[in-house]
Parts: sequence; structure tokens; C-alpha cells
Amino acid sequence: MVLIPWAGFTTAVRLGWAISSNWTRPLLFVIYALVRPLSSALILVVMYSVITGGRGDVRNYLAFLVIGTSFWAFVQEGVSEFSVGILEDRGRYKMLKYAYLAPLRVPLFLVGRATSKLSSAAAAVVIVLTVATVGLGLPISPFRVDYPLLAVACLLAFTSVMAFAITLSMILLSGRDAYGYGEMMAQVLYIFSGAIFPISVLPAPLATLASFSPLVYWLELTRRAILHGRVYGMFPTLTDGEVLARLALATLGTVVLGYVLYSWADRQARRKGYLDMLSNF
Amino acid sequence: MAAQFSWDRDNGTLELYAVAPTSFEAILLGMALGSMFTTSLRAAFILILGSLLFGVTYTPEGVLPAAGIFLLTLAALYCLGMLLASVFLFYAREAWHLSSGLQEPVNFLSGLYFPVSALGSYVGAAASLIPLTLGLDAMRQVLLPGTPRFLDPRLEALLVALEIPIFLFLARQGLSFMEQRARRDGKLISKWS
Repeated sequence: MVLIPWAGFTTAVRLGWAISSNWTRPLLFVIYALVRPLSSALILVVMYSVITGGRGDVRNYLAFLVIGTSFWAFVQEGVSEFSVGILEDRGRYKMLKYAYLAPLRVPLFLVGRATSKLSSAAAAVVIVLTVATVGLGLPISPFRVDYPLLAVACLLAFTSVMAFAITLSMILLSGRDAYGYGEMMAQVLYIFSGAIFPISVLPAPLATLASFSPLVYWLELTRRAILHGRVYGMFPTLTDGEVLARLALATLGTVVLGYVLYSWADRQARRKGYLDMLSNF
Repeated sequence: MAAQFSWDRDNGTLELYAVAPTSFEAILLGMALGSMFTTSLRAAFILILGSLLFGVTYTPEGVLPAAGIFLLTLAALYCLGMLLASVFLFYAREAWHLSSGLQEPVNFLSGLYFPVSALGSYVGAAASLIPLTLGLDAMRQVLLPGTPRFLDPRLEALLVALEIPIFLFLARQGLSFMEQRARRDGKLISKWS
């Protein structure tokens, strides 16, 4: 009995990977997968250099910026690209209804698809961090990373990213032309996640709202795990354990809220025929 | 604009264009004009909103030259888009992914978020092949005196103006050549190649 969900999950991962990558040759795909996050990171780094004029006293902020933007690839892939993928499954390849007919539960199929997206982002994260370490002289050493902390933080964050992305894509199924909304949501999260600036610089109500997001605590923990003490911190008064507890709590909230919304959106999709609705693709 | 024909092929409208009593260039030109209008509206809205929110002030005498440079840049960009459309006509899913993959590198090289002079003269010169690079730098200089300068704004405007006929000529040649190849290889109607 356990084998069926596992086989379904791995099939969904392989399917997601195939759809993402089988449009071209492997080399071109690798370039495509790396060039976007690398360019985004370079944009921010040059902006930082122009604005600060190379002042040494703000170097901790450069590390903050680089780690935030590199790990953001997970959210970009997990939220924006995933929701586009599900809309493509429905509108372009017209195969979403067959996923519902398959002998595995649809959430498992969606988790498998999201897993493939998150996996493909990992390479981009490593490359951006490597380039930043070599090119910008950031004191990142693979031998000094707190891997257990990083792994736990990423596991929790990926759970919440998947919950959010799956719920969002189910809600987006109600639209005929919902193609750009995943990207838009990712951009909104970008502002409220502390990826490029601390959430304390946001107006107070927005900062409070942002503090409910698991992404804020996840990025704080990734920075601490990679450059403990040598990077600008968003929560200097909190210990690692306290930040981790907040991340766990925020993840739990996201998953519960996501499940409720997903169940509602799924019912609506089945009831109103969104699963095989013709859409603008 | 570059990926337009690729989308149209997926939607099944490209074959209708092919049998219409007009050329692909004329169709793209019409699309470009419509798109230029909406793009200009959007740019104006963002400019006004951003200026009000962040209290940005501009040199009044720079507004008209900036508007002229903006239109020149837009025209050159759409001509470049038509040129790329000819290439993308031949490729299917690759076109879609490449156009999305190129977005961020173009944003980086064109100095969209910082003065292009920060990239150095060699990279800046190479990036000048993208009309946005020179157009944006010239607009910043005429509207915001004191902006780091890459080239003289008049020279930048002239170079952008020169790019328009060059890209247009290349687009016509490219479209004609690629259309023949696409017809020969059946790429005008094959969605998933």
C-alpha cells in the first residue's frame, strides 16, 4: 500500500522534471536554469555597489543581500514556476484532468510536481553562492556551514512554499487568463520576506504582516547557518532556537490555512469544471 | 514581441496569418503599434506614481527630449523584437523558454536598475546593441542632471535612431528567410517541435 503513493510521487517528480527540461538539449537547459538567478543576483550586487560606493562598513548587508537573493530561487521556482506549470498542465497540455483520474491522490501529484521545481532551483542557489564567494569575496566556506540548522530550516520552508504554491495554483484554476498571477504573488512575497531588505524597514502594519510569513524566519536561519555573526541579522535578540520555533509555527499556520483553502478551491474546481476548462494558452 | 509568433503558433492563429492577404511584417507592425500604446500608458503611470511617492523631481526642459528619446527607443526595441520574432518563428518551445530566460540578463546589461556606466565601457558598449541601454541612459541624463554618464545623450539618441532602420532591415530579411524555412519544414503549424 505504501508503494503506490511512493510510485505516484516519484512519477510526478519525473513528469515535472521532463516537462521543465525536455524542450531543449541538456547544456542549453543548464544555461537557461542558471542565467536568470545569476542575473538577478548581479543586478542587486551592482545596485548595491553603485549606492554604497564600495563602503566597507555596509559589507554585512552585502552578505544579507546575496544569501537572500540566492535562496529566493526556491520561492521563485516553487511558487511562480509551479503555478505556471499547473496552469500549463490544464490549458496547454490538457492533462490535469488525467492526473485526477490516475490512481494516486491529487495532492501527492502536486507535491511531486512542486518537488521537481524545488530541486531544479538548488543548482541555481549553489552557483549564485559560489559566484558571490569567489567574485565578491564573501567569507562563505562550505566547511563552516551549520548544515543541520540549514537542513531543518529549508525542510520547513519548502513545506510552507509547497502548501502556498499548491493552494495558489488551485485557486488560479478558476481564471481563464491567470498566467501571470503566480509571478505576481512571488513578487509580493519578495517584498515581504526579508530577501533584499530587513522587514523592519517596512511600514509598521506591513512589517507586522510580514512577521507572520515563514519565509522571513527561513531566510534569517539560512543567513545564520551560512555566515553566523558575520551577516546583518533581522532578529538580533532572538536565538537560533527561537527563530526556528517561529518558523515551525508559521509553517504550521501556512499548512493549515493552505489545506482549508485548497480543499475549498479543489471542490470549486471539480464542481464548476475548471479542471478541463479552455484557457488562454 | 519576439515570442509572439511562437504563441500564435501554439494558439493556432499563425496559420491564419500565413494565409491572410498581408505579410508577417505588417502583422507584427500592427501588433507593435498597439503594444507601444499600452506600454507607454503603463510607463507613464509608473513614472507619475513613483515620482509622487518618492518625491522625484525632473528638469522641465528635459521632458520633451526625453519623450522623443522614449519613442525612438520604443521603436528600436520593437524592431529588435521583430528581428527576434523571425528567429523564434523557427523554434517552438525553446523560443518561449529563451525569451523568459533572457529577461533578467537583458535587465542586467541594459542598466535598467543602475547606470550602465557601472558595468564599464566594454560591457556597456556590447550592451548598447540593446536599444534600451542607450535610450534609458540618455533619458536619465536629460531628466536628471548629474546622473553618471555613459555617452553624450545626443550621441546616444543618434545611435538609437540608427538602430531602427538596421533592425528593421534585418527583421525583414530574417522574417522572409525564416518564413521560407518554416514553410518548407512545416514549422508554421507544428505546435510541439
